[in-house]
Amino acid sequence: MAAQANRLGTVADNIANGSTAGYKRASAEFSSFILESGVSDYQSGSVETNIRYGVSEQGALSYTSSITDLAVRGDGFFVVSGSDAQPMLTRAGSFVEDGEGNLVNAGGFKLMGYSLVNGAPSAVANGAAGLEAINLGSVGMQANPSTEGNLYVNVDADAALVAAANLPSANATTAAFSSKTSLIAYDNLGREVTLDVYFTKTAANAWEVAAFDQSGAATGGGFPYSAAAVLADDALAFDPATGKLTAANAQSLTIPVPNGGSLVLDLSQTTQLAANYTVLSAKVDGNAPSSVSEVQIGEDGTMFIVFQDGSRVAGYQIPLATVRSPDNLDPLAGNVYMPSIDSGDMLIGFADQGGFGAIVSGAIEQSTVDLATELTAMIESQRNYTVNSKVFQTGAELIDVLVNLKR
Amino acid sequence: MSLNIATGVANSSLGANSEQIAVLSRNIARAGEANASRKTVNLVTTGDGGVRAASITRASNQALFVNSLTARSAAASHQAITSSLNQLERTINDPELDASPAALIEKLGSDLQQYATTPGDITVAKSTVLTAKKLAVSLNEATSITQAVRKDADAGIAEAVTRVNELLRQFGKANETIVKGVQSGADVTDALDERDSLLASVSELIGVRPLNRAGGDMALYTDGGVTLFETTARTVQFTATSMFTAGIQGGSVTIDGVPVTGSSAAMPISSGKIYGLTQVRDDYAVSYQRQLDETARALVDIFRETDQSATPLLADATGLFTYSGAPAIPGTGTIVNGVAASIAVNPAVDPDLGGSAKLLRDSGVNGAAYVYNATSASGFSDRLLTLSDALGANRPFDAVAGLETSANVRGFSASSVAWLSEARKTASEDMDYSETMMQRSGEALSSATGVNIDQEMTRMLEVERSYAASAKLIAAIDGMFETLLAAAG
Amino acid sequence: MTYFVSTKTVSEASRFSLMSLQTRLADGQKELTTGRLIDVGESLGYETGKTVSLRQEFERLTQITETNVLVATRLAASQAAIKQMAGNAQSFLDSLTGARESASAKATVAAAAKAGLAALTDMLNTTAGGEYVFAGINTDMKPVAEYVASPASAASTSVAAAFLAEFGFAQSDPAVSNISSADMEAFLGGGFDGLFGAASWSADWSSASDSNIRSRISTYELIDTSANANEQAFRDLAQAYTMVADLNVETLNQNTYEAVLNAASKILGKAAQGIGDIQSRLGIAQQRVSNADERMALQVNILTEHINGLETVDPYEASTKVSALITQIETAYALTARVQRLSLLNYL
Repeated sequence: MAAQANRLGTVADNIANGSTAGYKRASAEFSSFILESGVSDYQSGSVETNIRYGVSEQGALSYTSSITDLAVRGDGFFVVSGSDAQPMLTRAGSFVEDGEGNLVNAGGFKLMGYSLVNGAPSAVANGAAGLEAINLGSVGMQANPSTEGNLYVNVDADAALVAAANLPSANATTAAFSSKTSLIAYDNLGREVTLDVYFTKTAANAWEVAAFDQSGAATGGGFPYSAAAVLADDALAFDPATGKLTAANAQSLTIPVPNGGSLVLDLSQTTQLAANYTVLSAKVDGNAPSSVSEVQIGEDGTMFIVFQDGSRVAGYQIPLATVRSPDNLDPLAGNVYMPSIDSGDMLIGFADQGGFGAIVSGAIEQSTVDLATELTAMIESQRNYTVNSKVFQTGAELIDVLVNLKR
Repeated sequence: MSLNIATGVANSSLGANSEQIAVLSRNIARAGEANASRKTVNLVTTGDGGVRAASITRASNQALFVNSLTARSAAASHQAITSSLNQLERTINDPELDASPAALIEKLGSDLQQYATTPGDITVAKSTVLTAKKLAVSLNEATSITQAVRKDADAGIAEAVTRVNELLRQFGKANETIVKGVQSGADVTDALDERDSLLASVSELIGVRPLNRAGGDMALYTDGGVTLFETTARTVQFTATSMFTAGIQGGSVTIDGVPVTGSSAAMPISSGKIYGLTQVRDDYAVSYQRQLDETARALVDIFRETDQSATPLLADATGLFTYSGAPAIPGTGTIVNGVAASIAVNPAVDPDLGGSAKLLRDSGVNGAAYVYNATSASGFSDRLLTLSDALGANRPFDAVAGLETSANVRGFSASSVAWLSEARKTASEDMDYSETMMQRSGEALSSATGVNIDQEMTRMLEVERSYAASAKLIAAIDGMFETLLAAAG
Repeated sequence: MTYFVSTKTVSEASRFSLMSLQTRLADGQKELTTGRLIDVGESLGYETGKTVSLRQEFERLTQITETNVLVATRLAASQAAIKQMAGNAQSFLDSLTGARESASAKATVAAAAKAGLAALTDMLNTTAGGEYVFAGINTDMKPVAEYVASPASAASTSVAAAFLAEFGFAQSDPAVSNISSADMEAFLGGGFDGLFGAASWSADWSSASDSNIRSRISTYELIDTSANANEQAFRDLAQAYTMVADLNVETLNQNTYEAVLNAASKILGKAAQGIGDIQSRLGIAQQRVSNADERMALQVNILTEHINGLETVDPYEASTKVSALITQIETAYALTARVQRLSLLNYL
């Protein structure tokens, strides 16, 4: 009867946590407790109750509108830490940003991850070393200098020739050019630097590309630029048969961005065809300092920080952890689990890798409790209890008879 | 499958349905908007068999969109040209009204003929001088109209440039929203619509070529290839000219430091309102002004007076018509800017200003040496006949006026009318064509990406059915739980 | 392949077409009522230059035709006066022939000569439209002053002076009867004749200019359209009349009287020929003017046709166009209404 009471307890727990995210159903398993008995006489035993948790059971995902609501589809747990900084495991992924910028779930546990700000994480497979609480506030303002980009244009094969003395690279007042475009690049401090890029035809199939810092342009724009604004120039030779850059020609222009890095501007797909000057592709990386607008979490757990200006950088990687026997984890309050002797040690890896499941952003793993099952179990326990109590009653009656015999 | 999961699935279906209804209602609400595109919800099946709205996409057709931009730019430039040329047309009016300089030159010729027949008739003399005054005034007015058209065009360019800068700023905001939204997977369809709509507005002012970049980003280049927008908006600069007279050139528009209009334009634009207005300011109105100046110069030249002494010593001087450079006669066959603006009847000939109309017959505005009618004979008609003939005699005109270089002044002024009318006709035909093109491309784009209410209604019915079915399912599951609870109770 | 059409396209399409149809209808109506193109410049393009030129030509021709009326009037007035002069001269010549034998006729002849001179002066002072037709270009000056006037005219004074210089006494002196025919002939051929030379004539007699009025009678014809009082023929006439009128022929002896008459007859004969020349010259001018008028009338007609051809619209065509447009617009209205009704909403 005590065993049945235990079972009812788990049912009550399960029903209560029917809507708790990441809750894993508990069940009471019984094993018989048999006493030594002879052939002729039966020593009646009893029932031993074992409470089991279906930790490895996958709950249904319910989709939400919050990006920081996370769920694991497949194996693995989020690594969280409570107030005592002890790493624990959980599947309850409804994280929200608290006042300090930490991502905290409904149980009050902080989500842990590897910071990517200083390069790839060095995950320790069997320990929580290197993990830190993910803090959105710590990412703050961040600027990245431009280092690479591309500029693919078509220059007009029929453009007029420009004399050597008037080339943009000579930076004379009389400078002329065939076409110009400008690109925004970023210096070390994230300041926008507008680069003027001139394409000038010097001879048949021969062009010059020259880059200047627009801020050094003469009043009203154009030549001559101040000496510091003259950044780079190079010759371009085009293959008259295909209109593409010859293989021998440099395929990129390296521009020293003022106060910034060295910007390698890929020109490889620039063509010289008998069509108007057209920009086919223009892209320069880097971004201006701007505050965090939102976060974004990929299936592999990479947490991207999206800045106000639309650029994004990888800020953290959220690891997943597992143990050899998840069902033997020690459940603690707040839907977290502690590795126990039975479960084995914590193993840390990344989502979508080596048997770990995928992290789904904007979803919550629902409780694995099924009401129908629980109700059925409850009815069954009730019946068992009733039957047991009948046995008890019968025993009591027998004792009564025995007592009455004495009188 | 458990009942809980079934409920979840039915629930997800309800969510997806409401998302769809929301999008449908957005579509229907914006059916009448020019740049509204049709939006659709993309549904995906979730791992447990449920459904969710993964994203919202909009119908778009880049080729048709770029087409419609090009058509818009072309139409805007032609509209600007046509309306400005219609302004210039005021200098001609209906040929029947005989109000153009050409008609008045003819009238002056007739009056001279009349006067030559009755040289003693002072009334005829006065009426001839009056006609000459009208002619001078018509040339002055034509000049001021022409210069006003140039000024209006210049102001129009300034306004358009301000607007382009503002539109580019807004474009930048919309673009940022899109870039950010695409990164974070948000619904950017409305921002895309807005960006398209801004782009359409920009294209009306300046010919523009969009370049799609990774992550929903877009860069803009003018039809001449100058960068208009790339990550940030480039500055479009223009300084309006406060006063226009013949020979004064307006400023040019610079984008990103590159002049895009005017003769010094390295990478000129070729469509849009700014282009059309520039054409008017620097091309049509300038040519027309030159024609007026040449007409006026020819008139001053025709009515010049020559020293009549036995041994002429004095230089020729202006006669009936005077101008700012009087009494010197403007050079032959070379344009002199501003003659049409300053041409006037010499006060010595103008009876209204105390002059004597007879000087037209006798000459001598510049002194006794220039008197042709030495005996003051009242029937002296030689000078008048010479003048009348000179109106019909071929003389050289400057080629910069864009008309024939040898013609009589009558023919020249008629050619000027013909030139303007032809320009108007061509511009008007171009405008009709480009407007039709714009309308057609707009229709094609709207048909490809716009909303059809009937279709939306049909889809609404589908969604309604699906919603009803899901609700029914939830009711059924609820019923089952009911049964179970009854059993438990 | 299925085509998709947006609701906006459906409604916009009919709106745009209606708009353009209505604009065209308004234009069509205006064209129909005025009969002219709605916007000549825009419709004709470079051909506008042609209509402007044609209109210029039209204006010029009309103007010349108008001024030709003036020219013709002047010519006709001149002709009439000259004809009168010629008639007078002829009858005077006749009277001279008749008066030769009779002494009593002397007074009559002198009187006739005086009348003739007055008539000649009158004729030469003929005006047309306020202008003296025989004044050459000095149209505002009376060409010839009255011979007999008080105070004495310049002409009569100079005749008297010449007479006095020749004979030593005035015309009224009785000694006149003693002048021999030879002396008289010498005077008439010398001093008296000199009075009617071009220079003396302009000084004493005529204020007219030697330059005749020149007129443009067609676009390329510029001709003399007047005779002036300084013509030899007029001077001759004046000479003949003066001779008989102012030399006191009544007092002359018969021989001398006859010499005067002979001289007068001879000059009259010469004058008659000169007048004929002038008449035919003016006649030719008249002829040219009327020819020019006829030609120009034809040209004006042609020009009018051309201008109309360019600027006007065929009323039938315009009317057909308008009715076609109305039908189109009505159809478009009906269509729009039906398209607007065509919505799934009405069937749900």
